[in-house]
Amino acid sequence: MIHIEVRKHGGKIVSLSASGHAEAADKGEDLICAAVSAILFGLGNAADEMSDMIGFEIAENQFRMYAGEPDSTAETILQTGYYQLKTVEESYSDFVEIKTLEV
Amino acid sequence: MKFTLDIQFFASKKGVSSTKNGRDSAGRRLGAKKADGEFASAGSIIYRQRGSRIYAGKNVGKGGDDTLFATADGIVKYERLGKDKKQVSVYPVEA
Repeated sequence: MIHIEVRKHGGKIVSLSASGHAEAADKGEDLICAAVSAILFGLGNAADEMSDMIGFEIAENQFRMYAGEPDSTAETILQTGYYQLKTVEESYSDFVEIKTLEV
Repeated sequence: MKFTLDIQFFASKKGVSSTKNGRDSAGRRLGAKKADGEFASAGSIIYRQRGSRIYAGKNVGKGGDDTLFATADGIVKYERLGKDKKQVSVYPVEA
């Protein structure tokens, strides 16, 4: 299961992190993992190119994006990522789980 | 670009454990071995079954595994038994 945690403050996303293994198939054939990986890496590059407000923490099987006081661009990027991941979760909830916290 | 896509970033390292299903026993080839009107010699198997789908009639015996077999030479006849049951009999051929 890939665990995704979305932290909100005042209704705005301030952190989006993903960790774990999809375990939908062997490495190299795991389509769920591929979908989540593509979304997060693409999101990371978009955030890096378009906003100075978003930081990153990457470790093995862990990807975290965070914004202290997200401006509208950062907010749009993080919200877009949230909805993309939600789309995957809706169809593959056996392999992807999103938790949203208000902090 | 800052990030190079690892398309299997969240994939597990080891192979996913295979399922525990996927086994089945060979087909038991049950069912009729002699058709209605066919000649059966004594001892030959007429019908293989589990339980009593068909009952033993005249000149027919039932084995330990519910198999029906002829107890005399003759012609096989499948017949109704009561309202909703079937039986099989063997009728000796007049010499």
